[in-house]
Amino acid sequence: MIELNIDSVLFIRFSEWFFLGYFIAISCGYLMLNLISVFSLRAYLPNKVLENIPQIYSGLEPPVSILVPAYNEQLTIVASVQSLLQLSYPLYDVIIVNDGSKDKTMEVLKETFGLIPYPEAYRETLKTKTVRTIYRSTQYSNLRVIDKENGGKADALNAGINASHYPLFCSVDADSMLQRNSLQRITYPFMEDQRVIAVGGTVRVSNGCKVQDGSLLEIGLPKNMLALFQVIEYLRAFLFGRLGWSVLDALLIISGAFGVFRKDVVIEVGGFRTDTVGEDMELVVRLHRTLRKRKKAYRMVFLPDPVSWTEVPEDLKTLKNQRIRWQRGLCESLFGNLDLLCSRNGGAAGWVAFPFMLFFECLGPMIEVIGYVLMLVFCWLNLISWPVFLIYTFAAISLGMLLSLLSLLLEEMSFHIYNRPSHVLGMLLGAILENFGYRQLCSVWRLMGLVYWLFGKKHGWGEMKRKGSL
Amino acid sequence: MRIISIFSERRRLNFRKQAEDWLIRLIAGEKVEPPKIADRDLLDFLYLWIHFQEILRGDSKQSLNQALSLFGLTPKIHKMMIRGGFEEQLIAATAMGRSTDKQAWDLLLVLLDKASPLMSMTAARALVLIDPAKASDIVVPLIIQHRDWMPSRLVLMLKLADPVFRQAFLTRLEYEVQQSPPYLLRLMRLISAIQLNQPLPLTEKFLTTSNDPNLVVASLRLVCHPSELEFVRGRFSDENWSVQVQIATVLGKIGMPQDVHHLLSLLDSKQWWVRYRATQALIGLPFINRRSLKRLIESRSDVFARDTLLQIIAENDRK
Repeated sequence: MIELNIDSVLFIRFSEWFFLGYFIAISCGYLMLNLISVFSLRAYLPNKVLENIPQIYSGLEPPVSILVPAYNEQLTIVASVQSLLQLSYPLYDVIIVNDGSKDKTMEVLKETFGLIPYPEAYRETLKTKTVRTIYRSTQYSNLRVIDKENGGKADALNAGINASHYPLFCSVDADSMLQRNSLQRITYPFMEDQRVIAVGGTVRVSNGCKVQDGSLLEIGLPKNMLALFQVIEYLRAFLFGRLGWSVLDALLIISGAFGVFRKDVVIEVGGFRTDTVGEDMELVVRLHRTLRKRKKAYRMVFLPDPVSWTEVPEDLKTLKNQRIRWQRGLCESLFGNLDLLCSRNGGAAGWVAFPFMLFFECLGPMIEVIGYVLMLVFCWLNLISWPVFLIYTFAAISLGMLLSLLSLLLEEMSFHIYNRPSHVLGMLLGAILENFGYRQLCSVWRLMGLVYWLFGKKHGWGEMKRKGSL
Repeated sequence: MRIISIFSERRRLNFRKQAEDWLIRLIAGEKVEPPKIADRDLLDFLYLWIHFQEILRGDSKQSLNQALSLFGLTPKIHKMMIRGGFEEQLIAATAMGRSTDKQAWDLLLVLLDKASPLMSMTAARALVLIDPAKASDIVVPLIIQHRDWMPSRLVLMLKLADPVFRQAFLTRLEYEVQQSPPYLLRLMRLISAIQLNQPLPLTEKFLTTSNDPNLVVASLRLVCHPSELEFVRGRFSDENWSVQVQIATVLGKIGMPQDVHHLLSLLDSKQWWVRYRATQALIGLPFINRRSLKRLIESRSDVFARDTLLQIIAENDRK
């Protein structure tokens, strides 16, 4: 046993309680969000009863431009565009922005959709990299493709906004696929409340699903364990977590994979920032900051049922890059809009969501990883007893498990999209196993993202190894 | 739990197939032996029945209505409206409305008082379908009061309602306009969405006095007669782009040769939507022909205006 002075003993005791307290606090935070989601879903779901009955359009539906930024997406772009062209919505157009892809994205698009160069005048409301050509489809009158020089996803989205014609735009990832009624559902809040400026939809994992010509034939679970863990993760953090924030009017993230925005408001705040990798979150936080500063009435909403299906990484390298990018994006979004934190008119976004994101999501991985390492070192050096170490590990893992299982339960109570017993068993297994290694690994990657952000390491488009499952 | 739900889902699927067959045969005029529908299957049957009601037109609807009485379901549906859960009450009320069952009137009045906006609105819609004249006294004041009723569903209710009911709503609206309540915009959006195609005095009032662009847009959507054009012209200097879009749309429908000049000025707007509607309006005007259109294109120095003109011509050629 090592001889310790009083300061060291105090430090060890403090560390024990601090890290344990941190895990309990973060879990309680998420637990609260899940509970809020339960109540919110209870109020929301009965209103969906009549939505499965066919109805004519009301005439209030606002026209929407769907923007799809694409970079090296030759494998998935056709299915994605096909799914977008099949949406049931009265008035919308689809704008694909090819951001200087190095693969055959442009050729595939030209060939499949019969694109021809169209001499359309392009007004550069938001500054972007040079637009080379605008194409129009000879087969689909509502499909246009913008071919531009590479400038990143945010730059591509800004070019899409410049070329868009309608008052709302919907950003969709090129590897995603929308359900037929998704657009109709996601624009609903805009019809009901004039203050709504942005609405986020749910992103679910398409790996394991059967897809043909842009249509989802059968919902399934992926066989790959990494993808399975992400199914649980998407449920826990992206579905029920965001739903909770939305109820509190403190939604800080609307996924770029599926979100609808009011074009005039986005242009008013300067469009997507091109110097960040988390352009979707950054825009939402900036909208909060700017509009609150100007004391403008607005609402940003998350809906749990308009669904976009997306392909998630199935290999460690791509997943690692994605998580590093996400963490960097989170840091850039929060620290770039620090004025919102506990600001005078900050509301729930500035006083609740922002501090939560800052301490638990942004700095959390650092605390988590240091916690694991310190506890291991203390235990190895016999500075803490094995029971204390076990209690710590048990608390960290069991709380994580509780949250995942609760999300599964919520999913079963509400949408139960995965409808086979094998799906439920698979998800149960995933919810348990993800706590043994996967979550810790994600924390390490997120810590790397935090470090990269601190040292300003550059990161471009998130390149992903595609299976082309869409 | 999941296994039970899978078995029940399978059973429901089989029932739906069977029920679909009954309804199709009935619509086709075949004789159908009245089947026994268990209480647990009633909700599924009603979902299917409403689905058919929504997609079919004409005499087929009558055959569907007969199905409810032929299968002896009406009393069961009434019972469902009294004792059922939320979903059951909602579907039962919808079905009673579609079948215009006058006996369900009192039961619907009970549902009309429920706290859920969806429930009360569904009951209101059913009442309007059953007896529009009688319902107007009850439902019209509720449309004004219930600001939690969803506009998109309200518009559908008004669009599909009998003219008697729509007229009653309009009369009430004109009275409300005199009071200038804070929820006026909501009412104007409703009335403008149902496209009445008759000149209204309230259009003149807002087009000449209002500074609220949303209210002006809603009023412009109501303009349908050349006698209202002078109020529209009074708005030509409005800089709000959504107002300009609507002005272009109105001029496209009922514009005169003297309005062409204004439409041409809208072609220089920074907003694509304004340029697009102005161009559509110009091309649609009966006194503009291909040759004068070509001259128009050549006369535009603004590349965006020219571009939109070419686009609309191409779109028209495609049609």
